[in-house]
Amino acid sequence: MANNGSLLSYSTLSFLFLNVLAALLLHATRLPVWLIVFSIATLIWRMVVFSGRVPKPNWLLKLVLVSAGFVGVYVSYGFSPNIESMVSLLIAGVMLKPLEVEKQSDSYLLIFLNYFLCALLFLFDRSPLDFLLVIAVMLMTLTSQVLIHFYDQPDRWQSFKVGFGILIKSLPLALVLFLILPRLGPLWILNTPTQAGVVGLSDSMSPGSIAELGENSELAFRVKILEGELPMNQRYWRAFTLNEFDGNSWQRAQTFDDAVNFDTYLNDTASIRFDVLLEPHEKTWLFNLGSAQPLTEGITVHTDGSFSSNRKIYSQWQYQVAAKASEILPHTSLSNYQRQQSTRIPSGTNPKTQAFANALWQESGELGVFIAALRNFILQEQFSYTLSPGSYSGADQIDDFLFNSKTGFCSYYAGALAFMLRSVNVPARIVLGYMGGEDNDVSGTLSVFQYDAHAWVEVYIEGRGWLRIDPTGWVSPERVELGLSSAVPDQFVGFNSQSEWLRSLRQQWQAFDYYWNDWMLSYKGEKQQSLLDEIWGDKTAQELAYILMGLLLVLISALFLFLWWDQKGNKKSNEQRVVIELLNWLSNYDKKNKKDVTFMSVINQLIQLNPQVEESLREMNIKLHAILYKDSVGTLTKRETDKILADIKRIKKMSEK
Amino acid sequence: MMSVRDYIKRFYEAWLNKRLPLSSSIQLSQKRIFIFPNKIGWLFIAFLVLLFVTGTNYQNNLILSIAFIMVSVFITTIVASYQNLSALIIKTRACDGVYAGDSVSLPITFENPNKTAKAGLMLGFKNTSLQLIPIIKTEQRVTLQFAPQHRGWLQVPRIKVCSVYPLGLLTCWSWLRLEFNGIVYPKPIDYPFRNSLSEGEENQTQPVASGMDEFDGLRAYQKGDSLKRVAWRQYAKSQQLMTKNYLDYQTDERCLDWFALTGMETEKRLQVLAGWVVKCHQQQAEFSLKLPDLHISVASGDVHFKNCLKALALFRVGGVDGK
Repeated sequence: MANNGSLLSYSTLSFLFLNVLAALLLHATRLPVWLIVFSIATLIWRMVVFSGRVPKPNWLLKLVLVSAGFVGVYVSYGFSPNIESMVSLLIAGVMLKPLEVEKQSDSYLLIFLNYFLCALLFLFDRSPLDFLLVIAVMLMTLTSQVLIHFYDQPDRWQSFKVGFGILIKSLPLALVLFLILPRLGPLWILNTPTQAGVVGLSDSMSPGSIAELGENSELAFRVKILEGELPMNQRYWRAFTLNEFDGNSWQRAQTFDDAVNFDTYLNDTASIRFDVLLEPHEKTWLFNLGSAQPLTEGITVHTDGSFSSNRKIYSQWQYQVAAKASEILPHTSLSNYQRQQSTRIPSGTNPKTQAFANALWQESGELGVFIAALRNFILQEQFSYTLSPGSYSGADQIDDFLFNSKTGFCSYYAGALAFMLRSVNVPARIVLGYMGGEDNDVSGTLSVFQYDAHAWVEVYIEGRGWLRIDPTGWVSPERVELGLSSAVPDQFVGFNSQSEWLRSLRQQWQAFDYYWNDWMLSYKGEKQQSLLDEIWGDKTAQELAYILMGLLLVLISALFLFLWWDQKGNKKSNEQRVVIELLNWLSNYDKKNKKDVTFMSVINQLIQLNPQVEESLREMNIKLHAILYKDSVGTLTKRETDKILADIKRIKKMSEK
Repeated sequence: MMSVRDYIKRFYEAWLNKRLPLSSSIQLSQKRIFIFPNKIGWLFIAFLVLLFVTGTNYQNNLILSIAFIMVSVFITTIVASYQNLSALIIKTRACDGVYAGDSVSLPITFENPNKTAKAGLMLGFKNTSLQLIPIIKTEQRVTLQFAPQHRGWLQVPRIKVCSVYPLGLLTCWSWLRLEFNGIVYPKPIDYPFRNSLSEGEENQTQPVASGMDEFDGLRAYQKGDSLKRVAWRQYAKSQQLMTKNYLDYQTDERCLDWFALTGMETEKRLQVLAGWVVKCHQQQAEFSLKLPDLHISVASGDVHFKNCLKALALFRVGGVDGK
């Protein structure tokens, strides 16, 4: 193809490299520092090579560098495949490519890499802001792609305009594709975790564990209530229960019971129905309210009333739940095994607490009185609620907490209460989950953040079921009624401003974020189907085929219309106007003969057909010749053209006489 | 028997020629413009598949949305690359005369009637390297080198004009059959001058074309040399036929006669005559040219010279448009 012109100029090359840099920086927080430094160094190296002071690297050096890159990725990540190491490997593999870019054809690989890096960002971040950022870098990449086709006369502003135009014109079609193209399931299972991992609940609870979450303001999940109402003090989002206590921490039971017939839970009609939009937590547990039934497929319900997904959640997932918000989870009778499991405590641990509980049990005699007495104890002894209660150590942490420091977080209170109940052989268990949720009036959703993580206790009431008791509410009613921000205003890390304006701005943003998630991220499967059904209505496959064919037809006609319009709008050159006039005359005799569109041949044919005006035509031919081939310019001016057109008409009239 | 491939090729050529008529001014339109993905374009499609698979496997709507945008970009580019060629006017300008076999600069003017500039055009003949025209804002003149092989009206093979602008994924091209008002003269060859046969053998005692005043030397006998000029004395000595050569007089008046070269095939005759015309013109001699149905009377100078060459070039060629 073209030879010299395809060499990239300094200006083009520098823009292209800035572009590569921008795409790399999208991933800057996740890539190892050495890789970024190395990549930038190659870009600078290439620019210096351009100046001619530094030679190009030879193949041996390149081989060594690429191998070093791969070894570096191995050293940084090891052999565990996670998405970060994949991206690093990709970058390490093409890192040296900039050194070889000289011609236009070399730069395509870098441009494709840029697009790919843009798209890969969404494996890690999916916020609207990230999307805008990616679109910006893509626009820059489009600009470079146009720029390299200006050869040695690069014009960045022009390239930007062209790239921008292409992007804007592409959006409508992209939108249509997004809306109607069906989403396939994964072609092969590819659940590569992110290395950074995600914050959230863990499988076990030791006294200090949830306090760490109290300092994290990341979103855990969002709930859109479709039917019913859910007051603040009913927002106990259950994840799972902890049944085993080893004296130090609470664990999930090792044996997992079979799926349960949830009709027993929902013998009353459900009072509330809601969607949960879950942020990926790379675990299987899901969140629900007390007695709940999943309305989405792929969810298993366990005997403790908790839900689990059949797959780990690596991307945002939405599911629907019907539930009854009540304090009691119906469970008519416990099996022996279950009873044993939920009363077991290691003997000899926390002796003070055990003795205290037994004494109190003797005094009260029945469960309701016993619990009330415990509540009184907590209130009278001036327990306090804090996110940073200091560290407890040693074997008898509950003793230490109850009779010594008396300050703690929800996990302390829940752990202590469950322990005391078990001490007197009352089945009790810890429930882990979230409590609360921030209302958003704009989107009508409520957001649950990591700092809403909570632990409470369920105690078994014979013949009825598991009753929720939240000892945190005893010591800090604000936590339950108003949320964490009111309970510990000084330690609260979430949004906590009195400004009405800021509050509303935050709500707007959260609403936007919700719609973004609802539409952009979870638009697939049932959601897509229902929207398409709404658009199509109830159509048969045949009707759909007609509609699609119609659409195709419209598209093709639009294209032809465009071509016609494009042609029509063109200005005719002066020469063409003359030829067309001559051809029109000629078509009076011979409709088909339009093949030779030179003046001379048309005039010659006209002469043969109209010998009576031969003289005039020859004269005109000479005149035309004189103008067109007089010098190397050979262009008809407007005046000359008009004169010749008038001549043609005159001669035509003459011939008709 | 013609193979199927040849047949298709011929059919294609005929179709192309019919579709793209010969002209001195062409405006590119949808009838003439062809678009197809090039190598980079296919790579891009493969890249889109990769993107789609990534998005699908991670069930990531945002990656898919990027894939959809890229698909749309690819489709939008079809229109954009079409627009880069459409409406472009290509005109030929007057072209110098050229001897067959020599290279001539074909003058071509590109006119852009649109507001937006046409970028990255490439121009050239089939199977040759293409010449780049980086940008055409309103008008751009270029020349294309071409070496015609046969005398007559200048006939130029199809010229390809193409571009991969704006994204390099699609090649958009058109074939131009351009008519240049140029003439290809017969390739002049060196050949000893001979006077017209019609003046008879007996006239050969007289000085022939190159007035025989000054003896120049001997050269090997060639078929057709006059026997009167053979150096018999040398022949007696060495048994080798040599011809005596004489220097021309510059002021000589000569008649370059078609009939002086009987027995030669037509093209060779024309080439010899062209050679003589060139020689006479170089020597600023006066000469006349005699062809079977044409006689250009004695004159000298550039116009006369061109006229004679043109007459030789168009000898029995046919109509003014070279048919």
